[in-house]
Amino acid sequence: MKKIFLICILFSVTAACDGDLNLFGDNNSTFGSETPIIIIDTNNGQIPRDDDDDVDVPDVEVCRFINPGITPLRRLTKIEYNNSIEDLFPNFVIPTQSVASDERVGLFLANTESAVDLVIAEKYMFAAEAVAGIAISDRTALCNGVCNVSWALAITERAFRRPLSVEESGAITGLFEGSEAAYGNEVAVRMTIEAILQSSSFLYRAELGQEPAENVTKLTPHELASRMSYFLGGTTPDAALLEAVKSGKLEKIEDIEKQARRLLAHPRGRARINSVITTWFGIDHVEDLERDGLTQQQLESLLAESQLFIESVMVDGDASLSELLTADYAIVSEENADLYGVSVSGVERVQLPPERRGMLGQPSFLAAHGTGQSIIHRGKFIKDAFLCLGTPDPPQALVPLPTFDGESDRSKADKRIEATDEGCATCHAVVDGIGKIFDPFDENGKYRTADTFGNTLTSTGQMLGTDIEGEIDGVSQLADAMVKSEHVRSCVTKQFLTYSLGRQVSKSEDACSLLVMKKALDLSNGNLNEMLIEIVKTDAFRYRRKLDTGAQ
Amino acid sequence: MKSFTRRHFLRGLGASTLALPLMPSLLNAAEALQRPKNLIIMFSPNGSLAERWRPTGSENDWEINPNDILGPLIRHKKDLLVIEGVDMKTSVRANSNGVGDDHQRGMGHMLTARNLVDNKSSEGPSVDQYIAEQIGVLPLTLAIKPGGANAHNRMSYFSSGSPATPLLAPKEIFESIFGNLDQNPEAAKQLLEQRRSVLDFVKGDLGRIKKKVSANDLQRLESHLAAVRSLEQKLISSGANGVCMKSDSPEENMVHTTDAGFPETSDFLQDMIVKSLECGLTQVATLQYSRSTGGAVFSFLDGVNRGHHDLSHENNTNTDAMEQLVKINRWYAEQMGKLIDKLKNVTYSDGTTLFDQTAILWVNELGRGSTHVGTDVPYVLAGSCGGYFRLNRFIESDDEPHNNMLLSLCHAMGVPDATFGNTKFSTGILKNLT
Repeated sequence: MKKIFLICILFSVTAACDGDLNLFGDNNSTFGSETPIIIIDTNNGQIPRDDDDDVDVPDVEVCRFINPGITPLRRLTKIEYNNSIEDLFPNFVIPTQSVASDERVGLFLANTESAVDLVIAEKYMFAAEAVAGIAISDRTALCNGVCNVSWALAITERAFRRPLSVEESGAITGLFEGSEAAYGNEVAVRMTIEAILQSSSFLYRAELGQEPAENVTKLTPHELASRMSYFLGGTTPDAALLEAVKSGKLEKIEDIEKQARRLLAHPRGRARINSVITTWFGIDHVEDLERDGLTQQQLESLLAESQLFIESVMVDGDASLSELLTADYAIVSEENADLYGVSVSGVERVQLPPERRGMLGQPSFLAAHGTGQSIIHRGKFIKDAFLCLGTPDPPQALVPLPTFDGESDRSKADKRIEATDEGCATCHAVVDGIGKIFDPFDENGKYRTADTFGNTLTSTGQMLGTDIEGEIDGVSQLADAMVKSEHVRSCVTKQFLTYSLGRQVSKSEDACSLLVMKKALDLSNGNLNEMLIEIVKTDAFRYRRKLDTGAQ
Repeated sequence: MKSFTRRHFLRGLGASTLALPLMPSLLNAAEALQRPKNLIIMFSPNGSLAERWRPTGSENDWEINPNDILGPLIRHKKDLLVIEGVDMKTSVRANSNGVGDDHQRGMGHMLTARNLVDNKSSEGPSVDQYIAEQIGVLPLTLAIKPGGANAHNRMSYFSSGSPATPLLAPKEIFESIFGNLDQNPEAAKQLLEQRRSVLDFVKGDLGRIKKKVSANDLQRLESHLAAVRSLEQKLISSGANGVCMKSDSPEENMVHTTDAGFPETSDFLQDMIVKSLECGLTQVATLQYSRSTGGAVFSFLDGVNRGHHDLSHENNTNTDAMEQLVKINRWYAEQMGKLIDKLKNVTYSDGTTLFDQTAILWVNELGRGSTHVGTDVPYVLAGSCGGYFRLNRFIESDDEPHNNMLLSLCHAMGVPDATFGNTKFSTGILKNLT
């Protein structure tokens, strides 16, 4: 039976092979050149580096000025919202509240674009009412039995993550006293909690204190604490961090670093970084896949197995990119042992067969990107997430390409490239070249030597466009090459800075920050925790630009 | 944004409680006059198959092949207006600002006839939100498995860059629609007072914060503030409703997050829409099945074993894939048929039904999946919208822009604008619909 496949499924005829992920929005080169373009414009709000700023930056042109980008106002993600509530009411068991689904910036979750609409506002109302209802069920646990105006002010300050203005104190006092007079103390407590949890000061990470006189300024310690806490812990600042702020211990670089290390080692920190890594590998949604041959339980276990593996690398191991990508072990549950090609009872750490190494050899990764045309999807994901090459939109009208049923995916991919013009072929050569390395894995991540038509499957691919050049055979070779690649390590810094700021990184504004991160990664043998710590010291993280605000 | 007023709300309820002293015949006439018009837009993804979708015959003498996609709608043939040949001209890449892939552009342009801002949202507003704002109601936005907030997944927009969040979970939908309907009036009044005090604080806080943010973020906070005001209006309006009876709450174990859950969830969402219209809680609703590039596997249908998007890319020489696509699209046609039935089941004393006051438009983000074209998009319209549309016809448009289809919906709903969407393409209402 004749079948038709499509060329240019993902890529356009005219656009260069970058763009979609847009880690450097101002980059017009074909493969994402690493040469930084230095634009020094002192009128554009950059300031010379202060001599008494105690952070160690490379002695290069791009680090001579502090030139932070504008970090957008971030509305809490679902996880951040629920963590914050849990930490504001630590004595209560509060079920996870369903609030609206999150947007992504690049690969990572961040709500920076669309506005709260009626549906979301209503969800926030119902959620706040549910939480308040639980909180007032035990006044001793909530406020030692004395829920008065001071309590109301204190919990508001905690929820807003900063001191209250006079006006704000007045508004909270007014609400509390007014509702107490009208409906009694218990209702006043409930209404106060409902109001706080629906407030924009709680729902958005404003990180805005006094408007600076200069164009560029350091975040205030409160702003920095909030930014650090959500970055490294996905939650509202804890008591120790707030205490550090109060006692002036979040200003010097060494104090900031100390807090960052503490946050990262905290269970919240470990959970956060684990979840960020699953997002980076695109496996955070693996539970939502619907696949023949995989039960819901198996899908959930696939994610859990990867999380356990990440935990063992980041906490018990050396937290290195190398171990993440090249580890010869995995943590496997019995129900998925067959997928990995190992035998297991219960949940065990096992030696992997030679065709699998690290995260890229785990069925969670292979299944998450194994839908439909796996060669394209897996190749494209690696190109975007680990090579930062981006991908343009596909063309308007697809050209049907004849092929025959029973052919291997590899052969179909080659025919696609042969039959297309240069524009499509350029990108497909890069993408398919990577994707072919994974060809022996079926859509669920199971290894086979032949496909359902009996075609022999091989794992040779071709790498183009970065410092990983030439033929690669198998996941193990790919992982080794990625660990050695300068290009991949640079991409890692871009991904994590993107995550930490909730915006795309820019090669003019963030060049110095990226260099600082890269240096930390290089000096620590690719230790990702060290790179994360270094992020809180970067210009991009600690400084902000004066805004053209709504007040003007 | 115009607010959702109590006056409007009561008008929506019908006049049965207000006009009691009138003679029955007068009552009927008054009811019919006051009864609002309604619009429901239903979406299914990944293009259609014209050769299996198109009816045969001419405008007035036409037939639906029972084995084709529209087969399940045969019993409603006299209530249909099948429209072929309309093009989504604004979404053609060369005509647009070039933002987005074909599916994203199709999705973003489909109800807005405007460009995408970025790969997350459209320049909006969409026709449902626009009409709702103009006539002063809060639209109901429901979906099954629409995915996260980006241009592949959202069709309804308030304004530029602001997609409308669809309601998904049956329990939340029920709560949102009927949350306050039949409480003890005193308790309801007090709860409303308290909620309004809380929302007053929330508004004050938004007002203080917005002075400190960038111009771009300010726009988001302004929209948030408008949403809180709408919420307040909604609470006020629904608190006033003592007439409409709550429908049954959803089954606890209803699964709306899996492909297997489509049939049950569809049934529930349709009930919620019909009940909302019947109770006058809104006049505009959207029902989004899946999303553009949606890969739902309808294995509850005999012979379907592959994802919809994957199948849509197959060529028509692959007869198995074509049969699967026909089955999937027939399932959507069936859903439209069921929705029509549900609307017809709401009857009035003058013998008319809720369906008579309503128009349902079934839309798709592409003409055909395998080529990604936005030309010849398949439109099926059901219901006259209070006599506006002339039904029981199959018409072929001469490549009119889809702006005109959307503008016709505006006119049907009493919003007689001159153009809709990108004015470069909008040339008036679609010909020959009335």
